[in-house]
Amino acid sequence: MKTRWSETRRCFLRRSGAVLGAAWALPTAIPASALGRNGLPAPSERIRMGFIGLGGQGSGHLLGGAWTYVPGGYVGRNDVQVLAVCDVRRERRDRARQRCHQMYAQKFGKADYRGVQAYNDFRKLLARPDIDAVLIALPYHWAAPLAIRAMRAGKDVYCEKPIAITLRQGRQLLETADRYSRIYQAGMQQRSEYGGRFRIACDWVRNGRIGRLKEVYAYRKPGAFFPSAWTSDRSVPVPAGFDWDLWLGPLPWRPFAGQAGHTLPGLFIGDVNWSPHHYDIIQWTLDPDPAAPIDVEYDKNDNVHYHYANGVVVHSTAYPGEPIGSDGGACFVGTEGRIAVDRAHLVSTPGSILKQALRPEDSRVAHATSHSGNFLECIRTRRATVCSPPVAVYTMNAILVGGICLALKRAVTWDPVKGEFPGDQEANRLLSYSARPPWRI
Amino acid sequence: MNMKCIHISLLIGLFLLNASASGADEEADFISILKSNAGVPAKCAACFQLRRVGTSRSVPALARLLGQERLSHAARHALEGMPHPEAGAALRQALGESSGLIKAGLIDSLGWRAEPEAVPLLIPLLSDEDATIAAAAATSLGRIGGAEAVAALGALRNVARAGVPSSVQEALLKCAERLHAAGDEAGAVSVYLDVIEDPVSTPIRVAAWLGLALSDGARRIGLITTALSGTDRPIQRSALKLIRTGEHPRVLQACLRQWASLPADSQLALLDAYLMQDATTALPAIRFAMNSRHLPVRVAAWEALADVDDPSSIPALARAAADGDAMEQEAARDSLSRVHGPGARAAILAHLDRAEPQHKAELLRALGERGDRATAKVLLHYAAAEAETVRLAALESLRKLALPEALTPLLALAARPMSAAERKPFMRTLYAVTAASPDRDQATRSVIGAFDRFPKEGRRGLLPLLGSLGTSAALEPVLVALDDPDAELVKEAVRVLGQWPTAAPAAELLELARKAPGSTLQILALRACIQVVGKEPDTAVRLGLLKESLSIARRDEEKKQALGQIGLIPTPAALETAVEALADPNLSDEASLAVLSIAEKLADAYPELVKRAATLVLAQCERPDLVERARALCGLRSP
Repeated sequence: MKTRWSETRRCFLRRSGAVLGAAWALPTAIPASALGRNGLPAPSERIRMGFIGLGGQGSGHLLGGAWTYVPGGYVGRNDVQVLAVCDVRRERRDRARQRCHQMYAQKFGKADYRGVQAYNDFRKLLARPDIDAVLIALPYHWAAPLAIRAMRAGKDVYCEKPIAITLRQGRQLLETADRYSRIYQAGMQQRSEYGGRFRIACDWVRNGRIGRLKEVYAYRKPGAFFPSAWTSDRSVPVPAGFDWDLWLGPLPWRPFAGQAGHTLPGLFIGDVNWSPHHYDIIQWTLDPDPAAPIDVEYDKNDNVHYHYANGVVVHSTAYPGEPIGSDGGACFVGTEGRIAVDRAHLVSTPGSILKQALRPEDSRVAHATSHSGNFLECIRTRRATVCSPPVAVYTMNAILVGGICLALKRAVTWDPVKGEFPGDQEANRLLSYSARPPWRI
Repeated sequence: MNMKCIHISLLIGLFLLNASASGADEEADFISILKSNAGVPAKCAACFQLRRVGTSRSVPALARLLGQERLSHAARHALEGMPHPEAGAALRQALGESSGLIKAGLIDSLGWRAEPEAVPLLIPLLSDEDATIAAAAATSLGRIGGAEAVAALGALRNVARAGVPSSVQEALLKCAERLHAAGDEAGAVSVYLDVIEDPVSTPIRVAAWLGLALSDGARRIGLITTALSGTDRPIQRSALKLIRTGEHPRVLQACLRQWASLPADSQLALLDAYLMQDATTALPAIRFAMNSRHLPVRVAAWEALADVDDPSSIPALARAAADGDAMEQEAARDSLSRVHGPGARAAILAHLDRAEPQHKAELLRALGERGDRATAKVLLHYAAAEAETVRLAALESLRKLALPEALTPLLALAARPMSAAERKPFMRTLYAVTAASPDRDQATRSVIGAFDRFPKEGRRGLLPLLGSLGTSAALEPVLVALDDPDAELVKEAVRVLGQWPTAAPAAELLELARKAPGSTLQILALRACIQVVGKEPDTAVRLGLLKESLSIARRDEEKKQALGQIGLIPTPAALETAVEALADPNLSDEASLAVLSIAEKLADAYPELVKRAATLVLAQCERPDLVERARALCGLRSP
């Protein structure tokens, strides 16, 4: 199948991308004379970025931190120039801008460096033609609408999960990335980080090291947008410097009630926040036919079971007695053994399975050792990222379909080609929600 | 309880019961909430439920809410998702009675419903004074499409109004995509050409160019080849992405014909595209790439060769691995280790005979990386080669493979006269082979049998092999070596015995430590003895040997080493020995550590003994961490 060929090849062409990555604005390698101060790439060769959403995730990406994967964050990279930060909370954007200025003042030896702008309204940031790419780390309901707007504005996008909260948003995301030729990386970084544990698990399972794959345990329920309350009358004063209306964006209007974190309470059924990590690794390993329907079964314990066309069943539960898998992972069960993986562990039963190295003729999945690095490299080469829109949307769709199954408390069948639940009017009505004007996408 | 609370409670009850209630009953209940004087949250929640279960019966009640500021959105959400024409009619009806954001929302919902009946209502709104409404109308017309919509959008595509032209042009792009998908390529091309003539922004220009390249079969090749070799970077980047899909073979062929004039990133994209095809189709592009003037492209070519089953590429890979830029070398080496398919191994072996020494070395290295266990004979042959690079590469691969059948021939090769530096890689390889040997007794016999064939200066290197085997037969010659007049051989024997896998040589080492004439050898033997005693499973025997070691040790270093081992024996006798050592002020820290390590393990079984020992530690030791542990054993709180 062509897509599989493609992914296999991509992992072996990684070096060429890195070499080419030395030049971004120019089509050939950078001459030494083009280097700027201190041997850094000249400003014209750096990827110019804006950061939208500066909470824990966004500021971690920007500035580095305990959980991040690049020391010093994007602002510490020599191949990136941060030009703008954006958040609806004034103190967040001001703090981020100040930190960026401190970092750049030190890096460029200019004490009065003031090259980073702070915005409340993302539209002003997206309107800047000098910004090549944006990193989006926003509340769940803004992820897809903003990624779509950014791509329409000609920006390449790194977007934190959940990348879409409805199946319709996922389709629009795909269409927009295609229409505007944008590079998009979803923040499901387990494909690249954590010492390659997930990639090894994937390669080993795909190459039949546990025999024929029969079942997968996801350790996490899927989820979907299914509000228990459309709006509310509870109200407290909006803190100074917080643009509540813009935070709400396309969601139904409600007064500020003191809660505005990753989402609002009661908007979702199941889990859409952590499940993308689990289900992304599962789809990667499962390697399903992207055109084949998926049957999702509901059980009385409020769990779901995905029946894929290749015969594999994915359970939203944990593998009995196997603790490894709960931290972003899964347990893959085959006819000749099993592999359990999470962020800190990779084990097989029997243990000998993981001791057998891959052979020259074994296939390999895409190999990236840095999720942000892969994003930046793909901006330069225009190759697809390891978590490109088709990959990320397929995973997110699986989660949302499972979430709709949880919402309806019954089995559903998803047709990924038609993008609907065939003959299931009730489920099809949950494919989307109406955005509050003017936030149509 | 006020009315609002009653209605919300009622709604929650209905929500929880909805699994058992029939759809019609549910719908009626929700409609009744909409008609009641319930509060906004309750009515909105009812609307949300009607999105799921509502029929045409719900439409009038929902329609009445469309004009109300806080209810319009929820009602619209319900109607937008209903597959009933009455819902669309209600939304259209409300359009004429609304304004501002409510109207913009209604327009959006009509767009998603994509009913052609909305088109005549939406077209006039393209010219609405409110730019939000005009832009929303454009977006919705783009979703609905059709000739009428295209004509209206086309007429207004360049009207200068904030935010509107981009929505209009985006809508035109959507219409064109729909025409293309329906097979109307001429229609799509016409729209794209209109947009590209005067695009409102670079992203729109890029999107229109892409659509044109995909829709216009006649222009496609020219558009893409021009873009790839041109200087219009936004368009070039789009072309790079497009070509990587590999979906237009004629375009690929045309680009390949212009290979030499393409910049690096275009060549790379073209190569990627060919790699999406089958191996035979990809090979010509890979061959171009191998000779590209651009380093990234050559690197990509070497990487790609790992998977195309082309044995004829082996010589080129060997050359690149030996002579290329560092990145090329890495890529070519990786591919040599991975290239597979019928004939790959045979091609490597065939080229070995003809290759230059540096290239030969790369091929030999690859055999080891490939884990090819059937190549022992070839590797052994080249392990005797004159050229050092070839010899070292063969030995390195033999070391990686650690093949048992290579042991005897390797011993024979290593026994030949050569310098110590030349023999070193042989011995490294032999060590790996013996360590991995499944039949240790047989391997022991082979190594012992080689003793006499080795020149005297080379025998020393055989002792570690015997140590790695660790059999009882292997011990004998190492013990014999302790009496050899060659002092260096004796020292090596002591070192090997100190690392023996069992405590078997402990007594002999202790004896040597007592009797060795030179103090250096005595110290080495004592240290080796203390080291190997730790492998004695019988704790009483182990303690006895360690006490003897303590008694003959002249230096504090060895006494400390012995105390370290004693601290690992969790018995009262060991505790007593360690306590005795507390009296020596030079050993107080190590003795205290040993006492505490033992005492902590004995605390439950011998509480009084442990407390006494810990009290003695407190009297002798000043190291804060040890004092803390001793106080804990004495049941004292931290000061």
